[in-house]
Amino acid sequence: MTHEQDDPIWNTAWDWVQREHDRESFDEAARAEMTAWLVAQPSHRRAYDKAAQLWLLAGFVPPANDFGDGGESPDGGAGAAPRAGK
Amino acid sequence: MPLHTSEPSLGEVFIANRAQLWRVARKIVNTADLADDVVQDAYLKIVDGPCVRQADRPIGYCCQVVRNMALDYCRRHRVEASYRTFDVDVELLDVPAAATPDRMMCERQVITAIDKVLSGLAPRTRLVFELYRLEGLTQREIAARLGCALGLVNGLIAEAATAVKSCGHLLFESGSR
Repeated sequence: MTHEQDDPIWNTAWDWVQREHDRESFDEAARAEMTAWLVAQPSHRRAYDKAAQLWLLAGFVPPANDFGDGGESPDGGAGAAPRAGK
Repeated sequence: MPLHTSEPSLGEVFIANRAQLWRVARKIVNTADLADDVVQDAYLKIVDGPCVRQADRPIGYCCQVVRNMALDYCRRHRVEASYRTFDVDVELLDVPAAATPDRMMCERQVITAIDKVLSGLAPRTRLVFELYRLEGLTQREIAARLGCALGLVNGLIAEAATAVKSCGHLLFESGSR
């Protein structure tokens, strides 16, 4: 649909950002492989930075689901004053 | 400060819970100074109004922004550290662009666009995506929590990630350096 989805560099950069987020499987060998790709061409690094920014922005979308205190309270919720979700 | 019955703004909630939010950042980044930076950046993001749609739980949302910003600091740090092992001049590293009004506008548009494509997904797909991307659970943890197969979780995350990826052209058009 949009041109960058046919762009192999963008596709590879996106895949690296996805793999990097999956901390269970992204080991040192994977990181070395990613870095080799990043340093190979300036365009690789630019595409990676864009993909990482897009993935970061996805992390700023307000949730549609109410997770309650499902993990974001650092100290069991002391000091937090969450309102009822809905 | 004048009394008013309306709900506190996201920025006010952030300030009121600043110590808690700092601890969220400090658990992720290495130093107190870095935690300060993360909290400051997150505050600027919050007061800017990152998304057209308001968060249902302001404090939960503030935590989410701080946590994800801290994780991104770590990600960038690891990339830089890895460059050093390749003996690449750190001068070549991209410096994150400053938060100009244009850039903020672009980011708000992109976040809102991502919200929209996620709304088009099945509720379960969006739930899995939010557990993975917003709550930071691993795929294995999500499978255990929802009582479903790891392969299913994997597929749903891939589906949601593809939806997010489709918003990339917005960054390419407005955010290119």
